[in-house]
Amino acid sequence: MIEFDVSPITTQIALVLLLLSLALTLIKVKNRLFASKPLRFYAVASLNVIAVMTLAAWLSNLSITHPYEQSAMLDSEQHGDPSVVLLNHPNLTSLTLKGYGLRAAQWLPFTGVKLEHQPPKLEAGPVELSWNRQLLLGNRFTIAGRYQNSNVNGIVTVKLLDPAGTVIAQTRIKNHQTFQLTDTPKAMGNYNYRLNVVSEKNELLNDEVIPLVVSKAPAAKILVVQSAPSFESKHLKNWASSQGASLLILTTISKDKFITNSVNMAEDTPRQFTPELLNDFDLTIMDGRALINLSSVHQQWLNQAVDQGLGLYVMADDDLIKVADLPETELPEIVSSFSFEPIKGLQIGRSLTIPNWSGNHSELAFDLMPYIIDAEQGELLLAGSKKRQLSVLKSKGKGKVAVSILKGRYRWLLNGNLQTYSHYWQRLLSRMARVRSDSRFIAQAKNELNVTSLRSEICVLSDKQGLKLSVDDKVLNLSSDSVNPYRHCAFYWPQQAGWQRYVLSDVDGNELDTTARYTFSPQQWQSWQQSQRLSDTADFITQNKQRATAPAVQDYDYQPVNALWYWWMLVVCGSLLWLERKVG
Amino acid sequence: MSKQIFALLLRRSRYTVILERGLLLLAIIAVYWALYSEVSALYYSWFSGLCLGGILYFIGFKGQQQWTKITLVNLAEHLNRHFAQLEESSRLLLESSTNTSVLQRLQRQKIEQAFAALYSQGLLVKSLPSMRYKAPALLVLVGVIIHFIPLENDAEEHFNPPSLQAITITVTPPAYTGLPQSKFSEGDIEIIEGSQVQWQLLMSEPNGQYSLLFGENSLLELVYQEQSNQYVATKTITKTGLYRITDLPGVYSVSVIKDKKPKVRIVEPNRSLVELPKSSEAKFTAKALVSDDFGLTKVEILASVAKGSGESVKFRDEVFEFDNHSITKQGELYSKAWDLNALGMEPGDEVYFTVVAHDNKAVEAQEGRSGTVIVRWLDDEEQGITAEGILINYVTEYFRSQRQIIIETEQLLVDKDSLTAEQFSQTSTSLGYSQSDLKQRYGQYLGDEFGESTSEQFDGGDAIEVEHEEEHEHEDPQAHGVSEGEGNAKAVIAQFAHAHEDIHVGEVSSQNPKAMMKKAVSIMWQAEAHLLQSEPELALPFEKQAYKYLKLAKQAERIYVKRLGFEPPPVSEDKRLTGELTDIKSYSRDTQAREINDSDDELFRRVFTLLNKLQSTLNTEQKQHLDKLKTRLTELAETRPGLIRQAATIERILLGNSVELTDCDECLLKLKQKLWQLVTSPVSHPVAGQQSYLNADAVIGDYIQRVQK
Repeated sequence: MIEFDVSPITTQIALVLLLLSLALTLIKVKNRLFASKPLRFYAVASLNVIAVMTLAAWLSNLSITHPYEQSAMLDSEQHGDPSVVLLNHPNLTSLTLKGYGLRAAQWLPFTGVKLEHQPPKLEAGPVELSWNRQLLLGNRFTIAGRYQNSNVNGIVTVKLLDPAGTVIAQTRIKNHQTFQLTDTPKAMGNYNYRLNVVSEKNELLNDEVIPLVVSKAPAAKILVVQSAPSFESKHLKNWASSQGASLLILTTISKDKFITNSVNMAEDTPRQFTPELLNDFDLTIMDGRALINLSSVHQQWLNQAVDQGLGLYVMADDDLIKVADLPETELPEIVSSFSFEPIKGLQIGRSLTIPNWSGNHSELAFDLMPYIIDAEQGELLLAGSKKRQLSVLKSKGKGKVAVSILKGRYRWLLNGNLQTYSHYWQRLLSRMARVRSDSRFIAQAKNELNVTSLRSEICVLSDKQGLKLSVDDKVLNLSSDSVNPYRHCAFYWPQQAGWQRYVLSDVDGNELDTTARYTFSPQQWQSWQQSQRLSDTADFITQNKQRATAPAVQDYDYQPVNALWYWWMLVVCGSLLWLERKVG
Repeated sequence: MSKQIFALLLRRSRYTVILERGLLLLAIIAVYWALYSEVSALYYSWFSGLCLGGILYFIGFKGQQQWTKITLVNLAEHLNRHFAQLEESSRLLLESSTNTSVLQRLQRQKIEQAFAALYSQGLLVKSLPSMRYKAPALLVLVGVIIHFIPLENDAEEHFNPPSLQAITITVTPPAYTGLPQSKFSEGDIEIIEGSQVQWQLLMSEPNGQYSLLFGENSLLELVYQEQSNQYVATKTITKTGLYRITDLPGVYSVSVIKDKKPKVRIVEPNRSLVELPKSSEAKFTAKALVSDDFGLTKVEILASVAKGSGESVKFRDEVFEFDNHSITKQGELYSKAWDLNALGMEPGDEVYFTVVAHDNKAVEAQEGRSGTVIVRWLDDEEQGITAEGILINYVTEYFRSQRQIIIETEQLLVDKDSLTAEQFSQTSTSLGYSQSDLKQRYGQYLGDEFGESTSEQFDGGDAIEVEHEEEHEHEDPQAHGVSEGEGNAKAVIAQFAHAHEDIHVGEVSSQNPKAMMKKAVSIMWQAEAHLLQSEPELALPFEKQAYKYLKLAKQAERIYVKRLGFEPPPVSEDKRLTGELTDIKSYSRDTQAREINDSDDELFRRVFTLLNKLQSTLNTEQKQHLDKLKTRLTELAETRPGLIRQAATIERILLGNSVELTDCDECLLKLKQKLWQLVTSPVSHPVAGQQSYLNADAVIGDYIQRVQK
């Protein structure tokens, strides 16, 4: 369809003048040529008419219209922004999809569009991967996933390689079977493990990167209140202080006589059992006798401190259990919900158990108190062999209280197993100690797959204002969560694969926290990416079916004619007319 | 005739114009060419080419214009201006006779003669404009000047720092090794201890002075040899280390392979204690397998004969030679037949012997010794050694030996890449022999009750039976006791098979140390098998498992001891803290703990973290760490030569003050990999609570209140 605009008065005047000049020119040409050369006359007249019409079209803004197409095809394997389809087809109602599809964030602009998709077969490789991206030094990391290969029913070997390229764990699995491999990173920093999948013929099928960030969190402050000197506190003090933690050990040595032993503490920190002291520490460790010997005022202070976030770890002993057993006595309120049920036939010194938790390889047996420990609304903190509950944890206010019947934890040290000993206490501290209120990055999700050019989200926790988040010196916009005002998130589209460094700083530019994240290229973890895209696309199709689509609206696209056409037409006509005069 | 002359003059004029324009064009091209070769910017400048084309076109265009202006008429006018004799009538010479009047013909006749005279004198030709040489000549001169005077400062390009063009290192091992001379064309070399090394360096600048710097301050001057145009130096090297050429980049390593001590193993008798019955012939054969990397000079037996017993025992030391000697694949096999009677021994006497081998190392031979074998000629009164007593005495020593096997296996795996296949296999085999020895000794003290099969399982070999209350109820110790109604058979079984009457004396512990030891020995079979097949990576888990069971056996023993210990009565809270303790004072003690930073492990870990930070330049503290690591790796390279390469990489990093190495892409990666291998499992840190919320969050506080109500 053609349209033109002659509404302006100047256009109308110009058109009229053009017509007049055409008429006069034709008359003159007729007088000159018609009688002697009629053919030439017709040619010249045609050229004049064409030239005038070209000018008239130019003046009246001639444009061509065509209706918008409502359906389109998208090949998701082509690089580039898929939402460009919407630019070319603004009223798109139906989309035929080729390839594995898009991620959930990429489907957002296509809401309401009917999608037809024939998903292709997935490439062979690991899918549904998950692992902890950020660890503390000494923690164990576990990578889990599933291997899928639609073409083969054989057996493959999945190997985990450390940053030195050494195979540290491997497992043989069948198609569609899950796998789990673990290791304990040896040093802090950002580095890459690798996951290899090898066929039965020893051909390398997949070689993927597993990025990991190992960091060191701020050291805890530990308060130990004990009724007598013990090896337990001695070894705990030696280990924790050598790793930078602050400790205060209050030991009763006689009636109203105490030894106060502090390590790595500031001089102005209080040394007396006061509410200020309790609020200054992250975890308090007490033996049962020390707890029951606290005065009612001290117990009240302890209660309040735990409600405010302090962790309390009680090592049960005979005195505590006797108080629990005797009907005329009752446990201190803070542990009143714990119960101790004797196990018949067990005696102290003859009851052994092997504590086990994720990451523990030691099979050293420990003595334990022959009781079954439990608590209302409690959760298991540490289990032993034969399903023994060795430590039980209960939340109280913002803090936590735990009671343990395990004895002699320092025996790991005496057996030369510092790793297990330190891991035990680190695990306990991270579960029980006071939550720090420092501004920090929120850990990345275990199954997150950040790919270049796709949207990534990064969030921080902070109670400060005016925060600034930058990635490789580019500043990102942080916005607060609507539900949790201390949670702030930013979106980012990384353009390069590899490690990126994120820095959180306050309004004065002081660095609050740093972290690193790895972005994969589209060529890495292909089977996993395809699997995620297929899953997101299937979700999108399902959601779209539930939405009613708007009726089709016919619309048009107006495109003005390119001015060059006019220019060349005039030049050609003018040249031919000039030539005719010269020849004539 | 006149017309011909005119035509000639016309041609001449036009040719002059052409030549002139042509010369000018050539001169301009010459100048441009001179500029092109001197000014590099012109290489990429299409604009300069366009300008040149424009200039050439302009000159050609002007020339063409000039050409068209030179006509016969204009030429005639030019001649009229220059020659008065022509009386302004030279144009008449161009007209034909038919078109002219009589007067014109007469005038024409008159000037034709003058015209011809002028031509014959050459004056006509001389009157034509001559070719202008000045502009082209000037341009050519400019071009020549540009060509010979440098316009760009390429003085820097002509200055090249001296560089190493070729290096030839000739290594002559010590004569006693019998190894041939070898040549290397790279700076990094691996040599035998004590080799003489000669460097021949071809430098780009032969007029300088160069030296080789070994370590930090040991200089070896390179001497220039004119006939070969090379710098030469020679040195005998005995230690692994780094060196570089002064004033040149590059750090090189010298890995020294030490001459190992001879390895001696007694293959017969295969026990360290041999007991010969009184009634036997008192003869036995001793065989020893001796191997060395280069050669042996002497192998002998050092023996001590002990006669008598108690306080009257006397010792006599003797040295014996072997009777026979043969060469096998594993080494040299020496054998000797012993006759205790010939030694003057009697029943009740003992002889202790060990085999000593000396290698052929120059200057000072190295000595290798075997274990000591005890041969006891039994007397009737003597009994065999009880198991428990010896077991306790030797337990600690053998525990160290199993741990040593594990350490050496791990080291072998780490050094796998830097060893040849043969070296790897030999080391693994020797570890297998050690494991075999250990296994046999344990088996010997356990009395070999379990036989020698790896597939045999043990009932007492379960990891730990920590509680057996599920099987037996201890509430009633008499539960398994004699019950008249059940008969005597059961009574016997209850009495002898499961004695729980006295809980303090009966089965003292759920852990049976002997069972643990048997389990350990059975696992040692697996470890030995894999080691002998050069599969230390498969053997290592079994070695560790065996070690674990040995330790459990030791703990089981401890538990036994503990049960017999004193257990004080429980303290009454009423009596506690009531003594007269007026001298006891409360006190406080403040200390600042020193973080353990000095160990190798911490150093490796720090540098690994530093290298992973990807920052280019190094600060002072980082340089100190790297320097410390380099020193430590150089020391460790004495026993593990492969580490010197990593020390060389660190030296390069320190010299370049940057983690990025331009001359070696993989060096940094290999350094990180080696450090990762060297770092042991980490110690966890005491950290504060790790949660994904802040305490200040009111939502969390509200939730806690609601849930905990």
